[in-house]
Amino acid sequence: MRILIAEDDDLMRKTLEFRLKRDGHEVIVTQDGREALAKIADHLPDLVITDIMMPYSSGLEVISAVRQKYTQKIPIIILSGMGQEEVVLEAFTLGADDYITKPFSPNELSVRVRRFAFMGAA
Amino acid sequence: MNIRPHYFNLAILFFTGLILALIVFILITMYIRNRRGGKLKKWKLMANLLIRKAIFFEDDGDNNKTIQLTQRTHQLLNADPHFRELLTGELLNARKNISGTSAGNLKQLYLQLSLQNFAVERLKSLKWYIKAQAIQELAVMGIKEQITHIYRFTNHAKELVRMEAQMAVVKLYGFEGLRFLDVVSYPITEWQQIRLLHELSHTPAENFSGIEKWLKSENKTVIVFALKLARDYHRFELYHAITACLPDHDPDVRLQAIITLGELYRDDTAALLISRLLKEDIKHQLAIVKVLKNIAAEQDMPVLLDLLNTGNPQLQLGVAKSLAGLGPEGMKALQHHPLADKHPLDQIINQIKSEVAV
Repeated sequence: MRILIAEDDDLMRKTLEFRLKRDGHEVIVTQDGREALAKIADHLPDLVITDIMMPYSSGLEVISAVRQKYTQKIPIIILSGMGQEEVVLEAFTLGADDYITKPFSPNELSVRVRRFAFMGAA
Repeated sequence: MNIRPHYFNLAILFFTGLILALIVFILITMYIRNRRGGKLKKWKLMANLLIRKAIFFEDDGDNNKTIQLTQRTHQLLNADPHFRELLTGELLNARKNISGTSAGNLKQLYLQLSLQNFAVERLKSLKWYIKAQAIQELAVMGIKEQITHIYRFTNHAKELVRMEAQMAVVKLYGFEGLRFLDVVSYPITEWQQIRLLHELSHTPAENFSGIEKWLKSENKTVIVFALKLARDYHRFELYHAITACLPDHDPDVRLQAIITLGELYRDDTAALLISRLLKEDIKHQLAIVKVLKNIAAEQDMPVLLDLLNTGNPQLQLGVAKSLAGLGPEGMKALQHHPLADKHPLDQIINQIKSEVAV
């Protein structure tokens, strides 16, 4: 599965990359929303994992742009902080498919990604 | 003016020297900066690698939970406080984002590097911000063993130290951590109350004790906070203790008691609040009518109709809304009030009608 990660925090980005690569996925990493949108256009990933709070373009803007621009369904998982229920609801309204609240367990993320891989294959 | 060539040459020499000195200074500064930048980059990479190693660490099944560390890491940690600071910062950042087994591994790494000892040392610092930082660090890393150190700071004279310590004990011990409310003599700010309630919202609700005692505290902000706890955790058994706060001389306590009764009410609560209404100032009166809008019943209608005679339009609006909230009967009584066709009640009734229509 080709997965695009949009996360501005260095350590988190590398952690996600490491975990997903270890699970056998092809991983594209980006540091902000603008870069994410550019790389989505270049690579057309099978899944996008995006943080909400990012420089230049937020995760919500990424979701909105992806849903407007692409006819094919690219699943999007958002990473949100605790107490961001309203943002999560907005993300779902814009077209997000799943969310993970920080702090999160890398194992949980791995399972959730596997679920999307399974759904894509079915 | 005639300048002698001798002085002119001296001036040129002086300024050339000055420019050269400036260039040398800039080059040296840039060199030092680059070196420091490169070092920081290298350290950050080292720290990140170490943290990732911990996040994905799996013990070998023999309960061997030791994460392998290089000699270089140990050396750097002991020799360079800047590296220690950077590594601690990265570890804290990771801990805030990671949960589950990996979070346990991060704590294991923190303990293995004995970073908690440095934090405990920093608790003794005379600088309040260093103390506050250390408290926060121990709480984020879940170091319960240091609770006695931290607990002492929950009533510290410096506000930020106190705030961090109170947050830390709640983070580490949940509702049990609230026992600092027994002794805290400084005010708990509105913002701190929000933070504490937010932190508690991540803890599974349990039937914790202490609220009744805190409702009688000498510290008025503790009473306000206890009222919020009673409201958020639906402690109906404390009804009488809450109503006992209604005549308190502190306006904030009275206001919070009114708001809390809006959530924890019985049949006679509306009558009780109405009996308080004329003894209160306008701010509290408005709070009462806001609550009445949700809890008043038909039996309260005559008193509410009487209250429409008060000269304050804001209050009249609130009371009118409460009457409208009683249904068609309340609305009918409102429209038949002697002042119904007089200003401002006529406009209020029109506004309520339009709101109902929407």
